[in-house]
Amino acid sequence: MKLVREATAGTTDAGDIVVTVLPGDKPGITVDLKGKSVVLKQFGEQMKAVIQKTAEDLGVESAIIKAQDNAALDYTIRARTRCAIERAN
Amino acid sequence: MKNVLGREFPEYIEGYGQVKPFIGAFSSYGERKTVGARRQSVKPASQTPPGEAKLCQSIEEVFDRVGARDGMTFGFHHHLRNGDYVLNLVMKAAAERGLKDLHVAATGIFGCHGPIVEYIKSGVITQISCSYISPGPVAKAITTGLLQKPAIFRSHGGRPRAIESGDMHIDVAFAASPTCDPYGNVNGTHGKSACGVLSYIFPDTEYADYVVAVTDNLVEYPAPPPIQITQEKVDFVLVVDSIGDPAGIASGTTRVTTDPIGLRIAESAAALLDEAGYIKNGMSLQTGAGGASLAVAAFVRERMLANGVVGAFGAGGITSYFVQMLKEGLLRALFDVQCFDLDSVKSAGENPAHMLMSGSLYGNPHSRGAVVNNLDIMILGATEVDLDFNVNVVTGSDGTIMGASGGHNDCSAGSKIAIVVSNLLKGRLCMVRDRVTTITSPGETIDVLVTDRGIAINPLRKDLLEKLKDSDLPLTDIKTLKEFGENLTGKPDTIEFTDKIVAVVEYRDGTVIDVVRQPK
Repeated sequence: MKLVREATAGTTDAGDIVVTVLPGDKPGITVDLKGKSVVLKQFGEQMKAVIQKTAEDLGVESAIIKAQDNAALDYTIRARTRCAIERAN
Repeated sequence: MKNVLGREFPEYIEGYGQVKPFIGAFSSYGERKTVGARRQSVKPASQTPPGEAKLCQSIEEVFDRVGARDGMTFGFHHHLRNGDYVLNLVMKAAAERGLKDLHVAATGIFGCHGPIVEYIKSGVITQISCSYISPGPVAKAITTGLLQKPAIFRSHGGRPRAIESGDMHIDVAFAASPTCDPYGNVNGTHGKSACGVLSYIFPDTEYADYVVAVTDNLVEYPAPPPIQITQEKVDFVLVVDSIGDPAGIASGTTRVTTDPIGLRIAESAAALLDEAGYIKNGMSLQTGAGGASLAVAAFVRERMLANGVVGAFGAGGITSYFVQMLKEGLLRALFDVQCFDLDSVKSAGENPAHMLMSGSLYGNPHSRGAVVNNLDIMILGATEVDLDFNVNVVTGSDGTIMGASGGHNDCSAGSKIAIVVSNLLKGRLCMVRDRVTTITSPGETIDVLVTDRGIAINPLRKDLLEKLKDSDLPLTDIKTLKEFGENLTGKPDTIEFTDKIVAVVEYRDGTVIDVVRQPK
């Protein structure tokens, strides 16, 4: 799947995550995750992996993904990532 | 060394001293001695030259007259909560005087005490001990190792025990006094900074070398009733412009949560209490002031009304909810250690059945019997609970200090049933863990965990398990709760800590139940 524009999904509410995707300028997916340190210290790597895998499963080959977390669970992260990618397509 | 809960620390902690390890919640009772107090007696007024009256003109004069010097311990209480000016005012003057190496022995530290971080950095303050601390600049300074000596967290009963036994000597106690006369009679329920009961400072007024009443409402002798601290306990009276910001002292009213998950948890807890036979005539109840804990009180109240039950007493920090239950005749008395809202301040000043209790009367395990010993039901919060029901209320799961024991381990030990109510997931964190970050209350004193995903009863409470075996309540076990939570959140990565001990957590009997190390 090719991204042609910047797109965002999600809210800043507790338990949600704002995912913004941009077309990448080189092959590969880079994920920049920000949020509360208490969450990121314990789950940051797992959450980044969820975003990465969701994008790969949708066939994205090149993207810059920025995420602002407010303690979302994996199913929310997957849904917001997918939605942002579909909107950017 | 390791204590019985498997927590490891050195036998001697620099800046704290020799460690007595925790050996069990009920292992320290028996004959106990208290220390003597030193006091300066006062001549009759006719024999007192001008300049020797109790009334001081400035904090500098107070420091002169108490012989303020490096290394002293100053006692403070936190009934002005997040509006307190007294601690900052005294420490600012101490810093300006060039005092060093002071120990701030406050019953509570709040966000409003941020200015003292500067004095921690400059070595004016090298030690802090407290029973409560809210997340904020001082908690952060302790977590990040700025304080020279480890902070000491004692419960509300543990602090008076430490003072009475001589473990902690208070050199000068500063009593925030909403109304005071020139001879040191203090009333807490009148005046522009009225905050209700002043009871956490009582051990200081009995055992400190000097007691200073700091007031912004000096009235003619004698101060109006109810007088809480009487003149024979007070050396000096200092008048300042303001002792606190009313907006930070008490909230207008405390409210029951409206969060449907919180209400569901509270409803389950009340149903469990009813089924287990705790809602009956003569019952007693204490809850935290958090929205979910208060909601349990609300549901218990409904069941009391429905069943025509009259309870003996409500205890602890008092809210408008308990005041209402007292007025309705659902409770015969209140034992109050701090007023959380304006209704309770008013009630404490007017209603003789709304009684103040000192920290020692509240929870001191080495007294002749604290009120927690008479408590049936205790509703508690928790940051984390482990598979043995040990509770953490001190640190977040990343090791950051965000609270202190308060009355948690006093009440859980004293009450007949101690129930922790909490959402299983807090944000992305599952509150049931293999191992809590810091133990505050031992699992042997925690009976039930009620969450939105089910109720776990401590296997030590065989009687409860038996009584509720046919119940329709969503009973499960704690391991299942943990697995359910971790399925949603994933397994947390381990947080790494340095070897530096930034805080020592004492159990209420003065043994060390855990330490807090500085996170990497």
